[in-house]
Amino acid sequence: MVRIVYVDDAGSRQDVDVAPGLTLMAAAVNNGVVAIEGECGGAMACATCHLYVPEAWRAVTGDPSPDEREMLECANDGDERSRLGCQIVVTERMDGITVFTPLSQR
Amino acid sequence: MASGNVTETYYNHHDPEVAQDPYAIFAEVRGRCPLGHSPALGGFYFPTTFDGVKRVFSDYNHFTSTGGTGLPDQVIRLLPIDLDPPRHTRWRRILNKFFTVEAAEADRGRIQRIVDGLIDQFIARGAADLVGELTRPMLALTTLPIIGVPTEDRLMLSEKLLWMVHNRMLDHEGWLRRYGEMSDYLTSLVARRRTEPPKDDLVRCLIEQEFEGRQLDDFEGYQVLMLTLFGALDSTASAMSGSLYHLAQKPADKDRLLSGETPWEGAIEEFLRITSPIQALKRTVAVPTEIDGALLEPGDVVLAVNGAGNRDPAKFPQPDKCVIDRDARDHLAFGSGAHVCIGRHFARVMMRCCLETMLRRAPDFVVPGDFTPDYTPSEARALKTLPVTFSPGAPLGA
Repeated sequence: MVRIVYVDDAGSRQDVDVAPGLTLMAAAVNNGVVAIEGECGGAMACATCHLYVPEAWRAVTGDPSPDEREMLECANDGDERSRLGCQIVVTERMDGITVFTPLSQR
Repeated sequence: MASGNVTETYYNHHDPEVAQDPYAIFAEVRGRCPLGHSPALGGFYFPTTFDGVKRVFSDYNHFTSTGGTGLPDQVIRLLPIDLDPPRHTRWRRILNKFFTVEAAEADRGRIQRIVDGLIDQFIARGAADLVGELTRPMLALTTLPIIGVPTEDRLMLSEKLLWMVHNRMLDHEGWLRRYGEMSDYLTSLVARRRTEPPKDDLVRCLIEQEFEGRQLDDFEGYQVLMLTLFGALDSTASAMSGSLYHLAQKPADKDRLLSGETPWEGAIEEFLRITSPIQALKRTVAVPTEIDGALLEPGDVVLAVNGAGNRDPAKFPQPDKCVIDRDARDHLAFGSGAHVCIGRHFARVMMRCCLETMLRRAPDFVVPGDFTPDYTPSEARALKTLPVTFSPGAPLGA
């Protein structure tokens, strides 16, 4: 299992343990991390699984594709750390990763 | 044309005979090569597996909505359903604010009063048509104020919209005439509202918000409202009628829900799966792509059949049985992907209010032994009537 830590806008953290192969969106939705909505079910079509990946983990998560960058323009409060959770597949190397969730997905 | 494995067969969602049991066709195709092709309506492909249907709904790069989502085409482009992400996403995020889970929950008291008021009208009689007297009026009375359409126009709108959904292949002239009437009605409604005091509803949102950096004109408002009304006057009523029909035949399931043995939340997902009120929506192949072993070419028409995906035994064992305690949460009744039903949170609240209240107030309702269900054809499959009898009760408002 891989430990993922989600920290919301108020600083509350939720630790979830998931199997590799899930996305950061599915890992959050399946474990009651309500700051991630995932309305479209992971089709990169709604920008409601927006999260922030700290610089230190970028080498592991990779960079957004051009399509993902375009979709991120629809998200609230985007910055250079912004990613869509549905586009990051959990791997063993992500064990212990901390990601931050925005104030609102709407 | 596709190359590769395809099962050639006749399927046409507008055919009144097919509408009675489309599931037999899907099962037959699924058992051969799971991608079907029908010569009807100009020819189209239709996956019959859960994974195939879900992919067509999700993969907008290969299966675009910009060629329209009705088969055959609607008279006008409906917004924003006929757009792909990311354009669609920008529209949808504005409209979503009206249809959140919180908004639906906050409306539960009003919805409950609507259900009780309608049941009051027939409870003393001991008999009712639950489609005509409960599920359809309940849906319209719930949704029209949210949209901002006067409820006094409910009967006129229901008649026109339901006719347009279900009869467009049978009377083309009548269909075009009603489209013209709806165009006049909705564009004037938007125009009138621009000068009236604001009310908190969807029409206000369409007038005041900017979509893709600009405000909508009256016609674009009509394009959104037309789509919203198609969704707001039929599909949830179909889900509720179909659920009530199941419960009328399965007293044991009534007891399990009333006692709390089976949670409502799970049962509602199963009712949605088994009824699949929206049966099928169109996509157009944008770039060559393989699906279920066949290569499709740009311009090929694909029908994403919610009802077929929801009856895939590999996903839902014994798919034709309504099993109210199974985990059906992955169903495709609301579609999937970018265009997942915007009204789904309201639909769930309405279903719970309607079903639970009927079970509480008329728990012994049954359908007559000689009743033969008759379903509407089209993208939307619904029971036309649901006659029931029950022990008479007293109106709450008396």
